Amino acid sequence: MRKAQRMHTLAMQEADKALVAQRGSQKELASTHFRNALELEAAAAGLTRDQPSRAILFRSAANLALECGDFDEAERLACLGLISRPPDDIAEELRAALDRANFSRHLRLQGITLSSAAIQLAIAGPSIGYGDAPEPEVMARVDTYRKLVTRAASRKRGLAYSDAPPQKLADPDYQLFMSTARAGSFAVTLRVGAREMQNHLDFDISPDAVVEDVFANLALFETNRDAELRQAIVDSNYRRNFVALARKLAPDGERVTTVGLTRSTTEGTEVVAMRQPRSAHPLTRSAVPSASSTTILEGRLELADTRGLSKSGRIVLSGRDTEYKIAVPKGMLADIVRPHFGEHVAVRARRRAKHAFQFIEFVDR
Amino acid sequence: MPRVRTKQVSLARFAHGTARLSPEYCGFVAAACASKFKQHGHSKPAQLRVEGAYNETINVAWDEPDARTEGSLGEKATEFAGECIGIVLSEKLTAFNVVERSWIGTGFDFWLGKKKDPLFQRKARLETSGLDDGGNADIDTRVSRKKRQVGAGSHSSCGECLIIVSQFRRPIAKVVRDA
Repeated sequence: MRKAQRMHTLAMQEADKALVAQRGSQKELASTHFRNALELEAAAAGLTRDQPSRAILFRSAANLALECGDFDEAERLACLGLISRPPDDIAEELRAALDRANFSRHLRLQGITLSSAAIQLAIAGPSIGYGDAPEPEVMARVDTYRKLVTRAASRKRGLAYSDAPPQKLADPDYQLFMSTARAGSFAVTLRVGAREMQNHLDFDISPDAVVEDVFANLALFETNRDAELRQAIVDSNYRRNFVALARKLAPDGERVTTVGLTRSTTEGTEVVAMRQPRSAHPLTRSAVPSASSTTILEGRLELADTRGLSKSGRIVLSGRDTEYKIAVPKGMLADIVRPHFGEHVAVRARRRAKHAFQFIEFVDR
Repeated sequence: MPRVRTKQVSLARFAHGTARLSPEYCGFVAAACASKFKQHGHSKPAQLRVEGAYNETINVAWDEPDARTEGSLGEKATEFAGECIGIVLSEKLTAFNVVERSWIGTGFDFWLGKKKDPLFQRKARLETSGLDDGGNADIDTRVSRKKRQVGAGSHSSCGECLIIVSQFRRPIAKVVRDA
């Protein structure tokens, strides 16, 4: 036990050094210290028989293996921790480490070659089987990704944000192509194609640049780097729209627990693993009203329109005996609200006057 | 009426490390905490209001963080500052010290106990969190989230869980003991 304790102490000292190196952007040094910490912690776990110490050390070692990107070792260590009847709470955390190891493996491209305008979208969670997923969980996210790409392209081209219904084009500028689905837990490749005529235009933005932009901003969103996101998307309407769409892409935390995006770059593979449930992300990242000033309104979404390019939109909900008129901030109407037209919905709203409300979000009933 | 002495803690002293925490780690999270106090323009010492399981004010002595460390704190500065406040408060307010840590992916999981306890045996867990801004409702929301995260009331590997959520604008720390 004493030897195990000594090794564990050394492992945590190595993890300390890794953390400091990581913060100082010394990636290679951090990686060396994490690897040392992993070896020491795994050895300490192997020497320990008593619970909960054994399970805690295996959980710690599995997480260090994930930090090193060694998913096979993480899986092995999490399983060893689970074998020896750990306490319930630690068992739950060991299973979470095992899930992360499995999902991280699915995020690898496994022989699939992606062009620079393509990403792999993978989802996992209790409702997702191996290569088998409820259609709405997949298609809603594919549709959200398409909207993210379209909005990013318009913003990068310098076009003003608009919630007006888009013109129906037979051949849109940025079309999304989807591969056949594959197991892992459930993954598809989404590729952004562009019309050739765009190449000679001065304001043209390549599909690669659009995908890069979406990817970078999703990484900022997932890690709650609000200040950097504000710098990346200066226009508040585009930013509000991006946050609302990114929340739709994020896991709900119950049916889907992880949404992963992988892309190939000249420097290797880049991954954004969205693990925070959408409820953990504030909607506008500013001035969200406190719970006391909000109310839930239910009804059929009867009307959703804009009041000119410069103004926000409005919706009308028909409830049992009443009709609610709800203002919708710019950035939300076209991509978030209008797809629910004609449906019976529940809306969280802020009361602005006796019969006037401000839309915050749709809520699950 | 007896005079109640305000408790004091010093980040500079904490930065030298503790019996079980290395100077590298303590120095780093202490710098994060000082940087938050500086960002919100707090006095020296900062008067930290403690609520929840305790009800008192603690003076936290802090010095300007060195520029190099401050520059490397990045977006997780508030989280690290929350770890610092959590550790110093648990040691100041309870009979426990942070005696063990294990790695959980985003940082450390802290275990409270007595120095001579065997490895991870009969200890309490410490969960920390930091917020830059927000009202009491935001602090309570974060406490609830932390409770859900540690599985409220089912700490089968330890006796109890101490949750400490700090908010740096006021500054305030809410301490919750979850058995």
